Amino acid sequence: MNLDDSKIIYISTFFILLLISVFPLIRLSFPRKIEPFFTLSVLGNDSRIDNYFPDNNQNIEIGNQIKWMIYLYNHMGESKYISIRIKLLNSTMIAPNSTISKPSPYLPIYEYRMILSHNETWIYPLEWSVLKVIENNSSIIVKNIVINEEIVEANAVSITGNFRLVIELWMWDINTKDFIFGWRENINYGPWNQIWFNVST
Amino acid sequence: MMYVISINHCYAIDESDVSLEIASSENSVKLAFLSILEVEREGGESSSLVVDLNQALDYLYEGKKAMESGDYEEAALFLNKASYDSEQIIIKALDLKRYAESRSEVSFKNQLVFSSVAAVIIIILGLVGWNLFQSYYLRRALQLYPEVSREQVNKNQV
Repeated sequence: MNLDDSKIIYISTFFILLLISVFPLIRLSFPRKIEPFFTLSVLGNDSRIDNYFPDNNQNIEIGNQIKWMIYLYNHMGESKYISIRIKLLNSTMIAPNSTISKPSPYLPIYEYRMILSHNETWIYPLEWSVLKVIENNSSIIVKNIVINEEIVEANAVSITGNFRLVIELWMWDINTKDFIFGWRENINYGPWNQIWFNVST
Repeated sequence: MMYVISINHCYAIDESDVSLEIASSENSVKLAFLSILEVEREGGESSSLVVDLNQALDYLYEGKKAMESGDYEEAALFLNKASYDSEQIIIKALDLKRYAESRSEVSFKNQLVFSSVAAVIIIILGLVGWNLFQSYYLRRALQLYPEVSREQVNKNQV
């Protein structure tokens, strides 16, 4: 190895060591970016994707106690002020649309708000039962539902008795100073879940 | 908070008062949430504030429930608690933000000093090391003497 070869190796080593010494400073100036996402899922009675209804029977009657767990996980890089909105729809009512991030256009029958820190998981128990159902002109109307010991007015109508509980995730947006459905990054995200059931009088 | 509660007991509270109180509490919660975000953006620890704000949100929820059931006094009590807690969070968040700012400034300065010292040491050692290596290399090169191989000798003779 001649002097020129040694010079190249020496200078390369020198610059690598120099870069290592200032690396912590570079890292402080450019914080690590994360891929933001938020998880919403509805779990059954025993916190699994199963056992949503007593005896796994989707035909529920007045007074049947149903217990679900709403699983939430925040990986948005900062705390989020969220709102869980529950809507009771029949099979023909408009459901939320994730692709264009549009919520279902109906008013929620129940809402719960909370703050979730980054990387925090929250399991929110949702106990509900149908309180009052009436039959009118061969339609079934669910008048009232009890959600977490709170009586709420539903007034959902279905000819077949087929209903669904839609659970939407809304987030408080700093720019609009209001809750928006899902969140906006490069594209819009609108997370929601639904579970179907039949109600008989 | 005690002042507001005592007023509540002196005057009858109606639905419009509670509605105003709900709007005010919701606004306080939003401001408290913004102050938490500011703490986080400065690199501060906000988990205790999040717990407190969730408590305030619970009060707000209970207040709304009490209002719906027509118990305006109870609603006002819960909503006052929500507003008070939110205001306390804003105050705590200011302290935490200041602490986080000073800590990140100190941390940056420490890192700057450490990196600068390390860089200077590496540069000095690099230059000194190179000079030593160069002189060693030249010394060795000067000690070398030319040697003619047997093959070269035979080739010249031919």
